[in-house]
Amino acid sequence: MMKLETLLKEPPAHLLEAGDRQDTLLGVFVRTVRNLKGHPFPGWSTSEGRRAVAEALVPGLLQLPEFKRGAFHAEMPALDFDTRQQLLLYNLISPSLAARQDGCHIIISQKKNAVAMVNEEEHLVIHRFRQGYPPCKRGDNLRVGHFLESVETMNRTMDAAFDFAGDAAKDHYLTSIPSECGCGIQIYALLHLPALNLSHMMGQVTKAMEKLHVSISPYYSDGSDDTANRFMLYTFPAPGVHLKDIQEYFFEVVERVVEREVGVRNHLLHEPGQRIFDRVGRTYGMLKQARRLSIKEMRDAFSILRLGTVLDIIEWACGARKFIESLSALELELTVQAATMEDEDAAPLMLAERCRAFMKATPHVFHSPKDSDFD
Amino acid sequence: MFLTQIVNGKVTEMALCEECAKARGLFDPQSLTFAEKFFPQELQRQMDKIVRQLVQGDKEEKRRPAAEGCDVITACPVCHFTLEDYRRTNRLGCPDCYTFLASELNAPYGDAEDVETTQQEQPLRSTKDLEAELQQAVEREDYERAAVLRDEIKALNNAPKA
Ligand SMILES: [Zn+2]
Ligand SMILES: [Zn+2]
Repeated sequence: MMKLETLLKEPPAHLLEAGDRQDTLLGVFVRTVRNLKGHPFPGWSTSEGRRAVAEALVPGLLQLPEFKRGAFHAEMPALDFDTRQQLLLYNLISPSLAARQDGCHIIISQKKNAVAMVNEEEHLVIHRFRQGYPPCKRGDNLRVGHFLESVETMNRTMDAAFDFAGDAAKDHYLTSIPSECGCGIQIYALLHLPALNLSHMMGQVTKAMEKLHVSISPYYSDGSDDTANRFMLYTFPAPGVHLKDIQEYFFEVVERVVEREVGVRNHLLHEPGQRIFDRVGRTYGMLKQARRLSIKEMRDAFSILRLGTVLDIIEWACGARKFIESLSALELELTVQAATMEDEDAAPLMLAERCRAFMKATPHVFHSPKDSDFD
Repeated sequence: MFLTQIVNGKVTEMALCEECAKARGLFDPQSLTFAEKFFPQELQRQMDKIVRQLVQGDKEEKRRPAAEGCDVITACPVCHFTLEDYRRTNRLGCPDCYTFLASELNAPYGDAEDVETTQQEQPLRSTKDLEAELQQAVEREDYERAAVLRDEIKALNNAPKA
């Protein structure tokens, strides 16, 4: 069993990687939902009821190949507020489970790329994260395909081990919300879309997604407008729809959004007003000199720096990929530190100080817009 | 049921009837403390939604002709979740609700005819049924609901026998 300290020491590796497709596609994860027959759903059950569900599920889950060795396992009351906060920032727990207590369990795989949540909004919710993001050409979702296959293998193993409500043979599972019954699987793509967001085009994208039956929402779910240009595209389960049917269509839509973002970036790069050069330069200046920074300001600024890096407006001595990875690591470290600081007023000072130090220690050159670009 | 809510440092007290207390995911006092800390805005939004639903539910109640039949609720025998609960929360209580509350799930919400049919199919609840539900309510520590059931049982027992 993994100890809590070990779990929290390092963020999941996939959160630190530079995104695929010019740093637009930050990750893919899959949410699997199942309920046990004969037990009330977690929203309508007592502590005893939840405990009974946990007793029926946890031992079997710990036998799955993903969780068999070196996994972390805890019942929610054992985790304090700061720990839950950190797990949320590491994307290793869902907001619903983070707010729950007795009879609710969390199991996290050693590699931190699989999480089983017992008595979340449903009896069992499993998140699987894609680790490693090699460049993929249009239509070439081979590696994503392997990932989805491993998810399906795991789900079939579970279907054999537990008596789930619904009809596993027909790929139809019952959930507490009737409209969400179906194959019990949702695919999420986490996207970094600074150019679309800066150009106020997210409204358009959202409308297009509605027509395509793909959902979109800001990545950070705390209800603020703190998006840091990160969005999630995701599918909704529907009766009779199988993972294989959705995946191709879904990644096609993701691909289209990515193309749109890349197109707008190119436009920004060649636009005579030089707004993007101005924005990246000012953002760097702010990080270099700020004395107080909020988490939102820091996240937004880091997003713009990533954009400037990919567009080669700033060139870092360590290389673009390495820079983005260090920046991701810093962002996670500082967000966790600020969120768990005892003295809240000290956080903005701390964030600014750490950012100034990081910028100072990271050699770079700025590139000017090329004359030939202005035709 | 009184619920003390701390949103953005302000303490607000809300009075809620037992029906609302059933939206347990939100009103589970244990989870509430954490929900407040994590998602003050989200919690506020959910609160607003529930209050809105309650206001609408009241209007709905008044519009329904068979006022005396209204308390006769189709309930899932396994988990005692009622159609009323489903209308308020858009959720179900347990997988068996799909079998026992099927008519409502397949019908569009607010279909007056369907409400009447459902009611006619349901016999008036006996003291025995109420007592069983009271037992359940006590077991899940839903004392608000238990109090109402206790009063209903009392009223039934005092009523002149037909
Ligand atoms: Zn009420
Ligand atoms: Zn039920």
